Amino acid sequence: MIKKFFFAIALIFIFSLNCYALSPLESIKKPTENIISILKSDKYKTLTPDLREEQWNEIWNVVKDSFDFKIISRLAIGKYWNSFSSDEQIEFQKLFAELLANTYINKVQENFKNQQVTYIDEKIAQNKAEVLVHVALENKPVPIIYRMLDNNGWLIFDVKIEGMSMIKNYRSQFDEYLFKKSPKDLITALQSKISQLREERKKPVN
Amino acid sequence: MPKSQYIFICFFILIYYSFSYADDVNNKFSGYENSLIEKKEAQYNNEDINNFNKDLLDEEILEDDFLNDSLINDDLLSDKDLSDSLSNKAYDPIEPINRAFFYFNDKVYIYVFTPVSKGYVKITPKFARIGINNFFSNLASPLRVLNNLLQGKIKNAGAESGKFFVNTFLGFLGFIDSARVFEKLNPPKEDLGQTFGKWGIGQGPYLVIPFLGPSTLRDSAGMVGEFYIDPVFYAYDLNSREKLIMDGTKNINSLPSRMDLYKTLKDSALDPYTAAKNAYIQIREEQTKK
Repeated sequence: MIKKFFFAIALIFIFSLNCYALSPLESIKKPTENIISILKSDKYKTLTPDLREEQWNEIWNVVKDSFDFKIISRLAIGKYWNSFSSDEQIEFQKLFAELLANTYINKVQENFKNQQVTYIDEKIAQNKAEVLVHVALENKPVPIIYRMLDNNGWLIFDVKIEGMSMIKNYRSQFDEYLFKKSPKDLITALQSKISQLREERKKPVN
Repeated sequence: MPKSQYIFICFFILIYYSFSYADDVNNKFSGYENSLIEKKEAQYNNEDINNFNKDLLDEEILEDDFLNDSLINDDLLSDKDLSDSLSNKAYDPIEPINRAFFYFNDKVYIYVFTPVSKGYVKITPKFARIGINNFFSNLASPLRVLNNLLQGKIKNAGAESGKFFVNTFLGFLGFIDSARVFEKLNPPKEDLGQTFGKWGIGQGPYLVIPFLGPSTLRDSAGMVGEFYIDPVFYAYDLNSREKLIMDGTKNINSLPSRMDLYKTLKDSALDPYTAAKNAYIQIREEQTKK
């Protein structure tokens, strides 16, 4: 299972650009290659905390347009979505995007070792699509399925790694949290988690 | 007749099946229209690709709540969505005990296993770690053949035996995973927990096992069972102590990757306990389906 988990998840964030009129597979491939070139660039060969922050921002700019965070947030919250006020919904959406970015871009930065990515197949059903990608880790390829929606360009709303849906995983956590606590508490909890992850990025990469 | 010979005879019978399996897969793919797959197929495991396509063609996936139109169109959430999030919940009747063990494991992982695995990585070169991992994976191959047979997957049993054969004789007793290049010889890994699942036994209550981590009643029973039905155990007349030492070596060797995985999970989660539980249940369900 070595590193497959983080790297696989990490690839969630490896996309960029407005992929209008691109096929689902192309709209995964283009940003992925883009991120890999950022990670490989000579400029970031030795990562000081400042450079790391800069690289992080560069990756985030590429990644953020490939995801439909509105739908992601909604699906992750599930049945409790309507108990959020509209301000809270917007706030949550912003924070959840930040949480994902701070978790997985950090992981990519720490663990990228020029793993090979192979774009295997795409399947389209009306306005939905799935793209299968293999990431070669040590001695076996890890299958990743990106699930996408056509919304003026294909945007990702879920990622399945080894059969595990990220959205379902977050939903199970939010479900349990919101069963006991209010949306406001959830927002506070996310904020503290994000600042904790930001701190971690300032530590040197070993 | 010594047990080891017996195992080998079974094994050669199964080799025959591995060839018929290879033919089958060839036929299946020759008519496949997608040129993309034809290009890439040679490098990778057919099972993944098969499952991917099957999944998408499956009607079920179009009705899946994630792809449900009503949900995406900002309407009120459908009943389907409600029921889905309920059914997704793992059966966890002893949650307080599980949480206590989860907390215990967390401390063990941070203060014992992580330093141990860091030390191990320092003194062991990467190729050695991969080799040892391959060796143990190959040694577990007869057990996977057995599980394939118990699930009635004759062709996969053949493929798994073929893999064992290739890796044992051409891969220096399994240290090199040479069968990886033959994509027909890489069936999904089966274990006793999955076999029980195939037989219709549900996962049962979720359990967190001290030191080992997430499991369910079914999978724990499978794990204990595997200790006793492992053909290697009989072929070499190992006693339980020797077997435990072997398993220990195997576990230390795979510790670094498991600690990485745990850290990622913990970092990404709002509630690591629930995240680990959900990840375990989802992955096991997917494996049992294959």
